[in-house]
Amino acid sequence: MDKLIYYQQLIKTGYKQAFALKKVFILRVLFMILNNLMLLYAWHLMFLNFSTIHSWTFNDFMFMTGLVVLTFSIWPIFFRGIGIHLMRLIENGELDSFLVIPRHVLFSVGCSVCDPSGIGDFITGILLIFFSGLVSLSNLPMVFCFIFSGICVFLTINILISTLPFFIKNSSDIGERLFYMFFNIAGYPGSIYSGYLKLIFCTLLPVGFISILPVELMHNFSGTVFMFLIVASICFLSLSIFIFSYGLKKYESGNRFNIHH
Amino acid sequence: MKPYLLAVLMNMRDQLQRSREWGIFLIRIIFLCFMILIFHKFWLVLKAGETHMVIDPVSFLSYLTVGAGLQFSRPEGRVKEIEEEVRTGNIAYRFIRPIHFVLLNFCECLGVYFARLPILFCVGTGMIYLLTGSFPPINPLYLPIVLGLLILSACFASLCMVFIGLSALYFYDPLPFFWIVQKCEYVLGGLFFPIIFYPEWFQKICLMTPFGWTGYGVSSLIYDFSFDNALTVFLHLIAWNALLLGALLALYKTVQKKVCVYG
Repeated sequence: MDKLIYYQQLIKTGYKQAFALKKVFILRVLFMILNNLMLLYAWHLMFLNFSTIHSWTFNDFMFMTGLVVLTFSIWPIFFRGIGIHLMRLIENGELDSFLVIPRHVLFSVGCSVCDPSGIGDFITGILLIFFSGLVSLSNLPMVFCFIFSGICVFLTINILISTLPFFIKNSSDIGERLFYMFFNIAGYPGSIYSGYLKLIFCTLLPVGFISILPVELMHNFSGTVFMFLIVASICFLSLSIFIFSYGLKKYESGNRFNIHH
Repeated sequence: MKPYLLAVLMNMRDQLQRSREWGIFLIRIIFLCFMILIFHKFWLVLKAGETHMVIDPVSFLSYLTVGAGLQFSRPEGRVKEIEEEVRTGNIAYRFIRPIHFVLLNFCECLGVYFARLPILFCVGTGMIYLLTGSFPPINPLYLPIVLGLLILSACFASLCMVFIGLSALYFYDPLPFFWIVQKCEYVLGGLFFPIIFYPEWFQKICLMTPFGWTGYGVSSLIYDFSFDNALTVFLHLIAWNALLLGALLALYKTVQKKVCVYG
């Protein structure tokens, strides 16, 4: 319970800080919504031309985009510190102040930074999933499971990328690029992938956990695939935390103690 | 002119010599390959569902390579750097230097483009050949003209970045505007899908904006080259570049008057 209160306070402080610049805060949220809707509109025009893309309708695409954007948004809202911020801390040897706190380093750093643009993503995600027409009361629990799995996948990728500086020097910029590459790949209709590409995206590079499997499961439910999705997401996340903890042993302090908020 | 030329050359050399830059660039190259692979699949899926496709796969992928090449060559970090200088007021120290801030940043951006674009195009062409067995359908004699127009596109993108960075004077955090410009390039510029896939009324809107010319205008020449088209694209690019440069210089003058040292 204490841990939860600690993380909650960290997030609260981050938002207080972000909200100090009220106009910037609102601008980021609104522009992120506009940003997402613009891209969706381009796809809408494409679907007007082709009606379906390998059996996927625009509604399927809307659901997928909603899921991608919503699950992605959890990272900037709650764990923005994981990723580029954490990589820079490791690179500069400035992680010491987090290491002395009796809390998990990963989540302490993660919750210490927030990005209001995530709220824009969150709102867009909820709206898109709701208006996709695929969600009903009966499949709502399943949709929550997809969201949970998506969050696990995005966190996994972020954590794995954050461990790069432990093993490769000056890799923070590379890591940042890698993460956005992953996010961009997740933004295309999952129906276009088949064969080896689908296999890669559903195993090694689990983009398919967000952009392929959920929509397929919404149309043709399979208990085995559903269980695979959930169990594999949890395993991926656990593995990434384990790899981070292993990497942490290789951390080299820069002997620079900073006071963090 | 010499310092500006040196700025272009130095940035080109930096891009090609520093291992850190190569690491980032390598990710971009991998991403471009992924994009070409995904869009090849995409074309096959569309072809399977439709009896009539307005564009063949080699043209489609060549178009994508030009558009994506331009995007992936962009030195995105520049916006943040300029924004930081305006926000902290450090830009004031640049005013006394005998080199124009706007032109210097513009040249530095161009240097990055010059270093990255040719490599991305070579990789893209290789990928297209691997997937389709053909090279981009453009007569090599016309290639210098397309490259020249691509440089004009890169100039527009560079000016855009400097403009957004300087607008930190008014908006404090101009990054959201950068997102919107990027999306305009995707949607109105037909970055990944040629705008011929869009309804006619939307195509007209796209060509009323600069993005329609910097994106679709230049990229479409790779599969549909004619001197008339090239001249039209050239005139539009010159006009939009001149317009943006004018606006940018006006904004810079305001920054010179209003910027606060120490933010």
